[in-house]
Amino acid sequence: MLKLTNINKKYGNLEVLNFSEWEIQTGIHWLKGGNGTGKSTLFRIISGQIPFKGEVELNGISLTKEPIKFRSKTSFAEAEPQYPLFITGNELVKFYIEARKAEKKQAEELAHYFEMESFLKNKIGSYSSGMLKKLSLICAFIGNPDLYVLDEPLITIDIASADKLYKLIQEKILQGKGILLSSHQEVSKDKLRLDTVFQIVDKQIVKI
Amino acid sequence: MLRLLIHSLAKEFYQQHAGFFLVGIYILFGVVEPSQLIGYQKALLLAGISSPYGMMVVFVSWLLYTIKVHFFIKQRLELVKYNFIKEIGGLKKNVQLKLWLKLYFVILLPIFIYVLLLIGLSFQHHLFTSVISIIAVFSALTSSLVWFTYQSVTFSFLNQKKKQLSIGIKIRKPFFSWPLFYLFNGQPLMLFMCKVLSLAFFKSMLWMFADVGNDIRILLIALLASVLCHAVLMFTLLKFETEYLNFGKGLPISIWKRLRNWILVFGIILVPEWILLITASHYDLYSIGNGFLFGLAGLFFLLTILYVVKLNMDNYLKWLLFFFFIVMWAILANYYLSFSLILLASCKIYYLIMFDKTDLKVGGI
Repeated sequence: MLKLTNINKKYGNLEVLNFSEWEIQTGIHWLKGGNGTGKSTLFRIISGQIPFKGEVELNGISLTKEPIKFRSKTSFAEAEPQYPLFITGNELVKFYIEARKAEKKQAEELAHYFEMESFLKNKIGSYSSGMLKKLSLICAFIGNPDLYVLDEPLITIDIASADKLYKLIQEKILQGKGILLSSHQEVSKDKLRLDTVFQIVDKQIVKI
Repeated sequence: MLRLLIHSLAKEFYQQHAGFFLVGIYILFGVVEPSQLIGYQKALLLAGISSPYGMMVVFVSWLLYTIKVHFFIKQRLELVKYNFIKEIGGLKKNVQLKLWLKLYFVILLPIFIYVLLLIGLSFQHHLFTSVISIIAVFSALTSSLVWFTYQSVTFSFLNQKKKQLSIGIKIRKPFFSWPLFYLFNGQPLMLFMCKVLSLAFFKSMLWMFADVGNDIRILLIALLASVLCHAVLMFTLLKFETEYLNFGKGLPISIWKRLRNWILVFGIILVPEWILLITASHYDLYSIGNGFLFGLAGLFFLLTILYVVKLNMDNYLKWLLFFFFIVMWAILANYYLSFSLILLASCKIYYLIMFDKTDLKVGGI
């Protein structure tokens, strides 16, 4: 499914990632590790947000050669999402629907699922951090990508919402999708059946 | 502590207003032969002190500068990264007032130099009323800045939340317009001051070269002044995109669409300048077309520089200086059309190639 080859990422002189190959298939994959190990950098590389050296492919589609097609097949939810404060949740959702060529109904169902319908008409500036996180999750699940990249999806959301997220992830797995997530917290193994667990150690991705 | 304030607030103020100072320096020193410079400066200063009208022009320009300073500092103090300044609120009142006075002395230095020159010249010409007015106005402006900052730092906990103005009309906000809405919602004063300065500089250039007659180059020099006044605005727009629209980088949006969005934003931002250009050109289509091309290319170049220097203000300034001299040469040498076309094409190519290869977002390893 996802294949990364000869990846090298530096911030100035600081090398964060350097590995020759990493591959994952469909299923749920957890990337664990402490602060500053490079998890967010790896996720931002996979979602095509930052420049890097190397090659990223999803089901044979190259990020560098076909960036638009690649981006239409992946979805990324940031750990700390930031959106313009003056737009409403609805405006952001509409933008995602247009960009991902998705159905409005799907977005409505997601908003209902995460109990966000009544807040979407409000400006994002008025949202709590939990609401903002739920909004980013709604946006991430809009459309029909093959791979969902969720950076720290559990932070700031309440237990009920986390349970709903677990269920949604399981549904996506049944549809044959891939989920790549990071979390500082232990992922509940009763609620989420992890296929693999990885850790970034010394710029390399290691399977645990 | 003063050193820290100068290194943060004062330095940032001068950096962010480099375009404005560049145009100001050009008006004051660059439009006459070096041999006539002293006479020109003396004439300007005398015009400012010898009549009530002249004095009013001087005081209004100082007032505008002071307002700009006030809102700049106010905005900075609201940012999380400047929270450390709130510690000053724990100092004694007179210590705080002295501290702010010293900081504003540094920020108001360009005005202060002219205050000294104007006072000297007023004494020389026995214009004692002017001396009193200059001292009174400058002291009033400085004291107001000091007092407002003292109040806002010490009594920040009393600040009430701004009420959102709502006229009940829902405006559809397409994605390309979000940077514009950000300016209207988040930076209205900055936008207003930028436009006031841009239009003032545009008009000043036309007046300055009024004796030349109908020459497209004058219009383009006026537009150059306006473009340079947008230097900080462009910085703010790209910063906004980097911080708040970064999520869009992961979405399947074509690079051409992103490019088109920027051009639309530039075109809308420069609407007031377009109006001035059209009227000043006496509806000459060639001049208008050249002006449009030059204005868009100019703003696009500012954006490109910001990409090249990765939002580093110090390096941005060096590029602005370079841009100013190159453009002036191209205009005066009558190469404006080919220059604008080359500039626009180069910026476009740079954007298309480098958009995915440039990371402007800092942090979050």
